[in-house]
Amino acid sequence: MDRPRNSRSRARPALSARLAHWLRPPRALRPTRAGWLFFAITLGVGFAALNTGNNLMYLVLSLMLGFLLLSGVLSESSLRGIRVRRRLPRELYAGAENAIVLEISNQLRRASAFALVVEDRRATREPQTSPPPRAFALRVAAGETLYRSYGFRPARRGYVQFEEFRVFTRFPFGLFSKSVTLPAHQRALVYPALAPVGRMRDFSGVRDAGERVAAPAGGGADAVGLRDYAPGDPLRRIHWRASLRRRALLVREVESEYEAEVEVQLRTRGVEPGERFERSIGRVASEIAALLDAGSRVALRTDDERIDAGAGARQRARLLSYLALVEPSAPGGSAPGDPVPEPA
Amino acid sequence: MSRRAFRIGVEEPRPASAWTLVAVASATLWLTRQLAPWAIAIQLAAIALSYWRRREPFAWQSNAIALNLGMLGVSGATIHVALQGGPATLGLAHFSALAQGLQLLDARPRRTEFLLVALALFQVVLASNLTDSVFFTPLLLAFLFAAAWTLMVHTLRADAAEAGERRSANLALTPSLFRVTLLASSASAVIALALFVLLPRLHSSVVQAPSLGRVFATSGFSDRVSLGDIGRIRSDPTVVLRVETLEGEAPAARDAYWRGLAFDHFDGETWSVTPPTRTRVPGSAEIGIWLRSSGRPSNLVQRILREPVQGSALFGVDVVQELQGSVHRLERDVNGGLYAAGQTGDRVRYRIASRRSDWTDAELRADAAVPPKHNRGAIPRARGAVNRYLQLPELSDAVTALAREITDGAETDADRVRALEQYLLANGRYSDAPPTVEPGAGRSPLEAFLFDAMEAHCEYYASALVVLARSVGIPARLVNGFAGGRENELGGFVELARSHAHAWVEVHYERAGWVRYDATPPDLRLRAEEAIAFDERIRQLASAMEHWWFQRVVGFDRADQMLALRRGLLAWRELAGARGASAGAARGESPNLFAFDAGWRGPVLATGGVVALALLLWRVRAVSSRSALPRYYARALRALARRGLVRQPAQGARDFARATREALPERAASAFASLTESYLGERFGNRSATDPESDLRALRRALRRSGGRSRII
Repeated sequence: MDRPRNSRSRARPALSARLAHWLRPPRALRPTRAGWLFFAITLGVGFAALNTGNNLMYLVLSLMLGFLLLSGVLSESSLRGIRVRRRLPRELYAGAENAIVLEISNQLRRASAFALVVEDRRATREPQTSPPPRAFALRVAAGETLYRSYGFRPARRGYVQFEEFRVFTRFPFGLFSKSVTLPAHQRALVYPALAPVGRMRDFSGVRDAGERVAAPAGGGADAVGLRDYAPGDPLRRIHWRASLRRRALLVREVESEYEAEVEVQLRTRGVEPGERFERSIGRVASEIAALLDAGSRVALRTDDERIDAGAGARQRARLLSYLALVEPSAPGGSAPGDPVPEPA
Repeated sequence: MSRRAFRIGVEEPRPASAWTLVAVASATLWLTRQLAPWAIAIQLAAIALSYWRRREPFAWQSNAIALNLGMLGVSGATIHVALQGGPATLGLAHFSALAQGLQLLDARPRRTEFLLVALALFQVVLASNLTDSVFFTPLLLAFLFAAAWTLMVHTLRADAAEAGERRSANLALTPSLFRVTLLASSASAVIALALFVLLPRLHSSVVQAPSLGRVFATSGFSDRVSLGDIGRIRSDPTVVLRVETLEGEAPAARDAYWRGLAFDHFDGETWSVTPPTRTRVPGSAEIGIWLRSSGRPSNLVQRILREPVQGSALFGVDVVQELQGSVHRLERDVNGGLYAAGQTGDRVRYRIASRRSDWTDAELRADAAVPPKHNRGAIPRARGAVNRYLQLPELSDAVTALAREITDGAETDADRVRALEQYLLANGRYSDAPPTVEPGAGRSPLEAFLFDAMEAHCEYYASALVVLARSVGIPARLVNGFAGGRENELGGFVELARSHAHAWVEVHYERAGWVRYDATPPDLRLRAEEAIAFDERIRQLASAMEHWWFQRVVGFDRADQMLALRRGLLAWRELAGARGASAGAARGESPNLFAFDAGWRGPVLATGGVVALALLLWRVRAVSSRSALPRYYARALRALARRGLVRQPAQGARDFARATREALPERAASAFASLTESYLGERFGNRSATDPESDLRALRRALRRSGGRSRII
């Protein structure tokens, strides 16, 4: 099953990038203010010890260095076994709060991890004004997996590229902020923002080019199979008996020969990219979502191509994916760009 | 964002380890005895008050103005101490002690706890410069652990506060984390020990910290000694020398003499070295200095730890041929006395290779007592002046007559000296009290001693022998130092206290050189010692620990470092299977003087053993605590199953406990419920509030008493 929003970037990185990655130290260590102070004191004691030859001062110096080492070992034990996975929702919408779940697991057999802050970093073209989203885990016991979530509100439709996790810890003494970078490339498609749609037009009985006369909603449809429930599927299509058997929601797939078939049009030629175009995409997406929720078969026509009518979650994903990527086309030519991704 | 600073203050009271930290750091300063009593009292009051009100502090403890006023007071007190004329470190010590007390009283939310730790660390560093107490190390280890736990608790709380999960911090502060911290701190201490050995030592110092007169130097060993000086210190049991024999046969207590300074000039009351000039011995004592060759190789190597001695004299057995140790500048006087110049107030640690004098009377009889050649021209001699080793004070002719009378009939110089020695030994009695001289009698103390009761301490006997020998033309000089000693069986060394201070005589022979004679009758101290009592054992243990501490830690220097590395390398090569001629040869070539003994091996092995045992116990406890509870729970389930109470596969543990409550007698139900909670607690939180074994026992007992009163559910 092709899921474009989760597809990993398989392109081989450039040599320079690989070299930079190879040369990058496995851990980044930055002293906190207390850490700098500790360093200064250690240097002072070291100088005094060398200067005076006082062995008790050497002893203090040794213990301070041992303390630093202890800090390094404990912080390493906190980071060493940490693995993070990102769980994206099935649909991401621009302008809406989308909950992204981070699965933080500690793969060490004995040592717990403490005071972890996980930053989820994305690749953006614009400079980021706000810090990357973070999740916090105070203790991840050995072999344990914790789930933490954060709210992700994408500003615009299109692809969003998640790059990596950076896991920080100031454990154990707050002298250093040690971090490890865990690559986690993941691409997700953000659908256009949906807005509430006013009272739906009743397409029943309307005969128009390419449309069929709709029968009363739900009447006379033949079930052709069962599939997993997807958000947006009408509740009346849930096959409760099969769902109870499988302990998962299943919906009937129907041959909707009597359902309304609506074609929604979007002008893509002769328009300028910008807020106005984005608003029209938002309106179209909202309309399509509402129609599909109402059980209609919906087709989409732009100035360059047409997506055939269909219903259900698959069609919703197909149309919204197209709308997530569509750009105004040059007058007289078909719009280049990403192909319409196949919905899940 | 690298999270380089804590942004939110921690409001919770500090952990108890913070007070431990402060108390330990303060204790290191108290060891130095430099803090004024009022400062200690204020510090203790601050510690006690802040601990007592840690959960409900007074309002002023959160008031910035009040705390700033307190800081003003601390600054004032510091200035007051500084103006009293003491060294700057003293003012700093008072400042850190008082400021730390104030810091503990500060109950405002804290972004960092490092200030408290830094102040404590500052005190420890100051203390390291002001004391060399053996208690410093345990305090330092306690400091390490307390600092680690205090900072760790703060870090977890601060992070939890930043994440908006203040309450969750306490969930992370589990006993297992405490144990891990303890273990990691111990490991850190072991690493620190290795670092201590490896850190480079630059012996020459650019800036010397001012000494605060830590110890009182032993008097009686300067280049000018009056009759009675040594007698005065003989009642003092303070240890001055600790001597380990590394190679050769150590002399028995009766024959053990550690020579200090030799005196050639006697004015009737005072002995002195003429001229009192000293020359620097070229070379580095740190590396080792070759002093002189007696024509015969050294047969004794000893390591000596000398406490502060007035005049900074160094001590050794008979003819010292090599010296190596923590002597910055080695000087020698005209009589061969050795000095660690400028180290009067210091503990000095050195090794000497010496040649024990083993001339027999027969050999000496064949020899002639003559002044040393190289010293004949040392003093410009006036016309008619005598050699300085034959110089006599103004004494009555009776002294010379007595000397002649005693030596009458003796054929050789050796016989004459022996006769004089035997006369004093036979007729004298030892006494710490000097002879009384009646004013106006016109007699010197020495004449009073020789012609009256003949009862005094060693200086009088030695002075009398020198004077009598010189009276018959035998060159002699008085030598002071230590004799006898007390063996410390635990530490494997000989202790020489001030009470072992002694004076004796050296006579110069043409071939044998300077030969020792001791005319002092043995006093009670040299008689057979009684069986060692328990308190003596304790004292010996304390002394052995102190000796180890001074030898291995306080006195650890570059030479020890090189030897340790060399030993480590050899041990590694042996372990790696490189046994052979080369390693053997390397061992064989090891110079005796610089031999590194196995003194470190015991403590290192002991530390390793303790760590290993702690690890083992921890593992056993961890395993048993992990495995025991499910086992108890399984047994309880079997006991219930025998009563027909079977837990269904889909039934949760708590549900099952709830279901059995109706079927079981009250005691059995409550015991099983408690066991279930313990089981769930361990499974999900690693905590068990109750004793599962007693719960299981109670359950079984209740089931036995109830008979078959349960029903199947």
